Amino acid sequence: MSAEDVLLVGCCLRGETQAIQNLIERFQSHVFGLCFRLLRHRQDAEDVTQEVFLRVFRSLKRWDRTRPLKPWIMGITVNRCRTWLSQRARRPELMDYLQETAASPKVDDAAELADEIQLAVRDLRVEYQSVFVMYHEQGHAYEDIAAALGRPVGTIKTWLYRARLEVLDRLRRRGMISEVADELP
Amino acid sequence: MNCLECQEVFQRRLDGETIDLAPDLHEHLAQCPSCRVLYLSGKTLLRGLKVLPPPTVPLDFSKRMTGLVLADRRSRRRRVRLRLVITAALAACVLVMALAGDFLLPVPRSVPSRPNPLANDSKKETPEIAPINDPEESPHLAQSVANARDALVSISERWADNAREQTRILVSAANAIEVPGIDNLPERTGPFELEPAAQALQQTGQGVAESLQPVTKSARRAFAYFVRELPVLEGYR
Repeated sequence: MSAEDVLLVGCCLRGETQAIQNLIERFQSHVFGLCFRLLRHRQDAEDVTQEVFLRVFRSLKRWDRTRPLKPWIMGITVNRCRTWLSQRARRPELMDYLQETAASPKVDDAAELADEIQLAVRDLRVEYQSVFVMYHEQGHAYEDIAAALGRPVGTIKTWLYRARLEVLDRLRRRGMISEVADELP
Repeated sequence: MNCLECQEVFQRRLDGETIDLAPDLHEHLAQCPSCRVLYLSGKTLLRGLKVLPPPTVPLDFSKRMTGLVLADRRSRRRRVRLRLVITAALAACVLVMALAGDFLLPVPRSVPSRPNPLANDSKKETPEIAPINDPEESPHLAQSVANARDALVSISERWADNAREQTRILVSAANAIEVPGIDNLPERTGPFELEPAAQALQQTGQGVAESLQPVTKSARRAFAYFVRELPVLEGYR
């Protein structure tokens, strides 16, 4: 918990427009990034991000001020994404798998590697995806992820370990690992 | 170093720790192909994560979102206010209906007024009727019926005596000279043969007697009804 969070939330509860916008700008990249990685669809990610922020501001009064704000918002994000994914699984839809990769043509091995990592992450379970994205892409600490997902830190570490192994296995199967001896330390 | 220790080192490196690889790790990687592949994969993953493009937030998202949040807050407030107004209106309607019903609806007179539970008037407390536990203490029902019958008979006799006395007075007044006295009347062997003036009085007397008949009949009927409604006592079956 930080005093800045408490002050910001207090201003938001009073209905100050600038405070509301500041809070959104502060967390929008994390929320949208996680939504985009989990949903794999830009428009869906934007819709869910809007839902997340609406829910955040509706339930801001219930936020426990003794806890940090960021994991609380990320927890709402993960829950909304899971709900969205379960709803999407029940209705037929056209998956736009190529929308991100098509927008960024492969120019070198680094871009190709990035695409392969994204594809590998997409095949993970939602829990593993959440942990992987929050840890490796967004730089959250284990404790924050545990608070966001409502799981013990040990569980988060286990999930991340398994997620890494699956991603590494996928990269290896896709031929992205060069077993050249000079790459050894 | 074995494979487990090697994997632990890899995980710590993936966690972002900067670890100096010990010489025994080099030896293990040179000998163990699976750990070597794992190490190289981790290295590749770290390199790929660095070049992974972060998802870009749509332009003006925060402004649009701020507008949405404010609109949502306004609509929720409106809904809450509307709900309050509806609830207050319903409560007022119920109150008006209750008051109107209390004033307008006729109160049946036969219904005794209920005691006010809030009144704390100990002086006007109704005496409690003690329950009858001993059957011998209860009033004898047959005795009560007999008393009622005697009372009815005495009332009827009194009515009849009055009527007879009035008739006697009237007859004696009408025939004060000719009639020697009602007490000295000869023993009646047949119907009286009265003079025309006395006949009128006789008719009056008959009228009085006939007028008493419905009274006695009603009393008799009421008594019969009263007796019929009584429960049959064990000893009188």
